[in-house]
Amino acid sequence: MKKTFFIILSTLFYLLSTIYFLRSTVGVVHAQTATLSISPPVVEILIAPNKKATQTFNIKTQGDNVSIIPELHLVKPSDSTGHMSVDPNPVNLSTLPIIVNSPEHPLGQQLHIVGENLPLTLSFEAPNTDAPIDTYLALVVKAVSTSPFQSTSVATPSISALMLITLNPTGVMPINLEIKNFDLGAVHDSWLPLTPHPSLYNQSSIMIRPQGNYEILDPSGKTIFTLPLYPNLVLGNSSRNLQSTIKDLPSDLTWTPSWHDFGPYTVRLTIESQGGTKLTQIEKTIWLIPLRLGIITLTLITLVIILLTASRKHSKVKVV
Amino acid sequence: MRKFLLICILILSTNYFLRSTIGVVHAQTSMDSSNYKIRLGNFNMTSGSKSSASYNLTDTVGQIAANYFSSTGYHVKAGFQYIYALYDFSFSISNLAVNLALTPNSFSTASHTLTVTTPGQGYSVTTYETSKLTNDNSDTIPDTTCDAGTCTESSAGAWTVATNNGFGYNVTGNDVATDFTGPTMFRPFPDFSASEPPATIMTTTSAGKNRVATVNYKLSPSASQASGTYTTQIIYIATPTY
Repeated sequence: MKKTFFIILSTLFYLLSTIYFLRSTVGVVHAQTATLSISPPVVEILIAPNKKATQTFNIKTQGDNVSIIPELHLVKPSDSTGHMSVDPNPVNLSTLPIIVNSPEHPLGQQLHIVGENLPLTLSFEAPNTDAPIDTYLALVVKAVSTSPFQSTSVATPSISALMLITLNPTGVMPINLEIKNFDLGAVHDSWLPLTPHPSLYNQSSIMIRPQGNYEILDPSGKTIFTLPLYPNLVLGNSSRNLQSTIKDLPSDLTWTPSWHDFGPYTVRLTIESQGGTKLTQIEKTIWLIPLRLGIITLTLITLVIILLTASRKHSKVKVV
Repeated sequence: MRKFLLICILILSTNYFLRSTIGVVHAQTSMDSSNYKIRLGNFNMTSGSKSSASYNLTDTVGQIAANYFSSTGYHVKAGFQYIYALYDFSFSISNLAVNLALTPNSFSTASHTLTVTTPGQGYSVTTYETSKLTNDNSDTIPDTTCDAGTCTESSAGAWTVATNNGFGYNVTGNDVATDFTGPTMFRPFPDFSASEPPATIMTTTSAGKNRVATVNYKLSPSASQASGTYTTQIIYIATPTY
């Protein structure tokens, strides 16, 4: 009896302690995740004919049983805020005006690099050309699962890095810029901030990164407010919203007048090249009128008159 | 009693020994403590824009492969100093497989999350399906047109009635497209095989870390839908702004 009790107790203790230790070492099985990162995310390349440049992208993946497929796709601007739309089809490299190669890792083929950095080097070779031409590409890296799925749908995450390439034989850029949407009313209440939303349209097919200034001039012609414009890149045949630079970050073109400002003020936008050459300029005159102040004053005067009139009538009634 | 104690000590020491030797192997992606974390492969010391009355300077110190490469005939601007941020552009998805049941005139749902970290001035995530849900006999499940029959690949509509059959998705969370105004608003996926352009589901013009959106899939097949395993591939592409 004592021996049986001893065996049962030992077995129970063995089971309990084994369960406890196993619990702390065996992990939980998670759903199959995939993480991709790429650096640098955006590259600008200016290249002359018969020259060659190389760029290395560091690609990293995390996730079990995940491989990657690097591909090149064409991209084009999709709005005025710097977003791009990626062509879903990989580009046929022979149709590009420049020669792009991936000497170490062929594009379109599956690579297994889980948990590691893959330096993917692309070379760009410019052929002879007479006129400058831009090419906008995305290096799209797809994460592909290597495990067979029995699922309704399989999600494939992809990350892309942009390559914005100008092939220029002369070094002289064709520039044709137009400021749009600089629509300010003829009258503005000096109580409220003034925030125009202009955009810059690049009518040439070559990208440009202009700079410039946003200025307010008072009725005497003196500059009373200046903001440097954020040097956003404007791709060929596309527009980009103009923003100011505040602490190195893009911000609105907001000017807050004083509540008593009155008269014709000039709002001026100047676009310059990186070297400081004036490319285009636009001015608008707006009348600042303290409308809200006027309405408040008028209301107060009316109230005072009404009160005074009522008070006089009341006095006359008493005398009678 | 002495024997019992001896066996207990033996079991405990064996288990402890096993636990301390069979460790979990982690990929060494970072060095960290309670006070710091260093991500390997990109050890930045400083970067940004400096200026005075006589000069303007942008710099990145320590980042691998960051530079303004220039020679006779080419210039390459590569690195975060050109977009003023100190972290990588990354995109992750919580589950690569989505399982939905095939119950006639009844909703089946599944979801997973997309996470984006972006430097610079923002990003966008676009999506499309390679084809409609298709089985081995080439039968297809149509994409949803929602309750009113008006939702499109770029404009969500309310979809709450299961007899309005189809396959669609809804997105909630950070930076999601503005037409996804609530959990009942759905869109059909753009069909790549029908040359439909990809749809934008997340977009912003700001830098951000770990921006998370949940994609909710919904399927309601008709009563006459042929049985079988229907599959498709949903592609998500994260693209930085320039």
